[in-house]
Amino acid sequence: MATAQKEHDVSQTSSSDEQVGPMLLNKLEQHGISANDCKKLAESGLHTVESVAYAPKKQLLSIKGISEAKADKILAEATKLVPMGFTTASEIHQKRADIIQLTTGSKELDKLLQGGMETGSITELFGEFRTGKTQLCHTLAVTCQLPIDMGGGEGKCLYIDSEGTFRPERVLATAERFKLPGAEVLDNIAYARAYNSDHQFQLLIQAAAMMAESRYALLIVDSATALYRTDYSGRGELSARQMQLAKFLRMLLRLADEFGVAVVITNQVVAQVDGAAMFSADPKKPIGGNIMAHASTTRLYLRKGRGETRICKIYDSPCLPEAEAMFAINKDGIGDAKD
Amino acid sequence: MENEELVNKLKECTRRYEDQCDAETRLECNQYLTFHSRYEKNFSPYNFGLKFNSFAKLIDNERQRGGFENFREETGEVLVSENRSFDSWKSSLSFDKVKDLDFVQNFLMCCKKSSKLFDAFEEVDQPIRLGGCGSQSLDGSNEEKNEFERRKIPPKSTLFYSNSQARHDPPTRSISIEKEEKNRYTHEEHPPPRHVDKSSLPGFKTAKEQLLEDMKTKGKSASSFNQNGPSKKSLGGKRTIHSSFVPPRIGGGNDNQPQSNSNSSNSSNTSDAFKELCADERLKNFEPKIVELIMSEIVDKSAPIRWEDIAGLEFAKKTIMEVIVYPMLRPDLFSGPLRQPPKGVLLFGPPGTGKTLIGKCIASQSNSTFFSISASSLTSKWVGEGEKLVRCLFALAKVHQPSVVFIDEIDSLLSQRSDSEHESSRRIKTEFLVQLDGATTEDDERILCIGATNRPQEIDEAARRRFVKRLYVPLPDYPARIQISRKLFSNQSHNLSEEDFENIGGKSDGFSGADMTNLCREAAMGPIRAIRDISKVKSDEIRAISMMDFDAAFKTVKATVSNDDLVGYVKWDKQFGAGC
Repeated sequence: MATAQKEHDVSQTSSSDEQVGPMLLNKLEQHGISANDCKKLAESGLHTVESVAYAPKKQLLSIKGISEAKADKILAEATKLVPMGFTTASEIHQKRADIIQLTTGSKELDKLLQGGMETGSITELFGEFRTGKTQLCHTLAVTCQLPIDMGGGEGKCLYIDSEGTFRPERVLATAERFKLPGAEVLDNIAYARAYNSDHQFQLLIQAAAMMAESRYALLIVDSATALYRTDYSGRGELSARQMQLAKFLRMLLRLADEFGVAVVITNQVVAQVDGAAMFSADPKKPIGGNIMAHASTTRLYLRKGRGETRICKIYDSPCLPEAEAMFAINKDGIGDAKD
Repeated sequence: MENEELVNKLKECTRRYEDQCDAETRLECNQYLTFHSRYEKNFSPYNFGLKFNSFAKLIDNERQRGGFENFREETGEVLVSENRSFDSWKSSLSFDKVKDLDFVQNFLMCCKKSSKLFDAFEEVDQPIRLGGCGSQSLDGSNEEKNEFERRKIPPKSTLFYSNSQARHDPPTRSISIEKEEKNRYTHEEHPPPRHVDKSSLPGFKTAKEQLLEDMKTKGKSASSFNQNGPSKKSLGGKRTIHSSFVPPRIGGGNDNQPQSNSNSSNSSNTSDAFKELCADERLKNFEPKIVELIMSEIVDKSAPIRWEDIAGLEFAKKTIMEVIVYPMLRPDLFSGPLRQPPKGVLLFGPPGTGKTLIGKCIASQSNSTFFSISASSLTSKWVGEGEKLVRCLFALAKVHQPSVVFIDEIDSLLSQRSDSEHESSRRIKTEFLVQLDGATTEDDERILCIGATNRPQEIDEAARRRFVKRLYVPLPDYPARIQISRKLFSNQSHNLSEEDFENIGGKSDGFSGADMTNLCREAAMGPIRAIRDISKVKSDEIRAISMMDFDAAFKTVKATVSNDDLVGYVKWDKQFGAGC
């Protein structure tokens, strides 16, 4: 949250930092950490001072070449630079008012989310097939580049695709709708295809490096769980899968905290075939279990309406009431449903 | 040398180094130190201690200039990396092998006696630190042995190694130690991969690259992806995943139309069109500078001239209508090999008769891209660039179909090819001929080339054949002259009657259009000249132009073209021209 605010007008911050965005590791070098150490930190995925400060000592010790004394020293310096203590709730309230929210393209959906997709937290979209998860991701990839007063995030988008459903043509169509030049919009989207769950995790480390270089507003992982579902099978590997998933989600949350990006992940559903289907309203549960459930800040459940309309329901949110909204998938992205 | 002497010299040198901090003194200190250690047989601990202190002082010299400090960092790094798997690695260099060396014996004795030795090494990184040697006192060699084994000899042996750097041949070392060292280093050659090799699995790329890849696999050409609208200029050219965020320009998106429909050069800015075109496949072989140069020749908005503004020249006008305007109006009637509009039109005639005017008229009346070319736009100081410009010109014309390339004073570009001309102009000529009608030109291209010249006889015959329609633009005849003068005076106040105009027309026989204009100008100046006091006169007080002014003007303005010149034109026209 601190960083999401940093990304906004710097003049509003009360801290003495005159810097926008997360601090790079160069700052640590000025405080006595050698460049070699900084390089090692960067190689293991910690690219900003915030990430170092938020990392537990155990994680720093696991990096080869960092001894305990060094880890202590690094942590001491990092925590000096990053505010990690107590503040009053009124300050937090003020900071929350400045949070950037990305419009989804549909006014109804934005109203449901009270502004749009929040930056600095993880939003999970789940639903059956054909409910519009990937389409919503494509639209968000364009809206994140709009200027802030138009509901965008003024930043690039990082798209990690594990199902091979990324279609730049859809992005172009959406870009036309917002009257943006398609080529530039495409240039601002960094796309990677994840081929297995390990690769997906490695891509995140690379993403952390890239986010430190330029300004990003959105990180999309579509879908976050598909590869885990097939890489780990059976009861025996369940705990391994959950641990890896937890690590992945933790990394996502770290990225959201550090860089203030909006993280949108898509999830698949599993059908409950053993009798509960008849009595409960919706027999589809999102996969990932409790790990997934607790990691994502906001969960949105999408289901198909009539024709091209889709219905979105808030499944879990720390501050939004449970409600539903209808939107439509048009030729040019997500839009309001026309009744 | 005596011990004491050496020691004194060393002390002095060290002091000097502290003051001066330059390389020479450092070298000297170093020499004393190593000299000392190398040749010293009876090595007294006191000296040994001193030596280490001085050495330590040199090494840990915190001052910026000239400290060995630098080496400390680097050796630290080197040693740290060598100790990568510090925890799990066990050295094969054990105390047993080393303990018999004199040096070691002395060292051990020193360890017992002076702990201040180790103060010097406290700050250095762990690998060099000799465990907790300094804090505990060692008594009994057994304990020492244990201590050293426990603390893992590597730090000490590295200390040896760093000293031996100064030695040329280490006499006290046994070969086994060196082998051990080699083992140590070979172990280090295969460090465990710290992070996933990034090249093994694909990383990030921009969505545009992904789109182009998709299109390639689907088989569509990349040119079907029209980059909508102008893109913002960004330093560094091609944008990758690592380039910074450039917010896309709002309102910069155009409709995704194929190029042949939206060809009106009047509406789009040349620089926007340029950016659009740079993406066009056909132009990707040309340097952008060249493309921009030619694009600057496109006439966007010229003063609107209508066909009626050109007096006379009926045949020329009719032909041009046939060649340009009707094919645009009814392309279906003008298709097929026989009815194809011609590719080249040559306008020749005496100077001042309206050839360039016709060109301007075409620019504003036809809805095609109008390239206005002269010799300067196709020449360059670089060898070969002239031809490239010509090629680019025609490529652009093709892209912007239907287009009209108007070349004024074409005899400068396409004169007869002879032996004595410059090689570069020859090449431009030949490139021109190839592009006008060569191997790669197709029949259905809508490019029209119009040339205007005063010297048709000088045109190369290959060019002559390519300019299919050769129109003679003659001096204006009697009615034309009247029309010219009447039109010129339409906005001016005058009291000329019809008769007067006819009179003027009759008198101005042999005048070209430009001459007529000059004549009228002279006449119009008449009233102004008659004003006595130019600063005080009011604009409506100026008298109207009358026949008197014209009479005066006729005295000063004479025809520019003589009959002899005309003969040449007429003859050429009879032989090659299309005209009646």
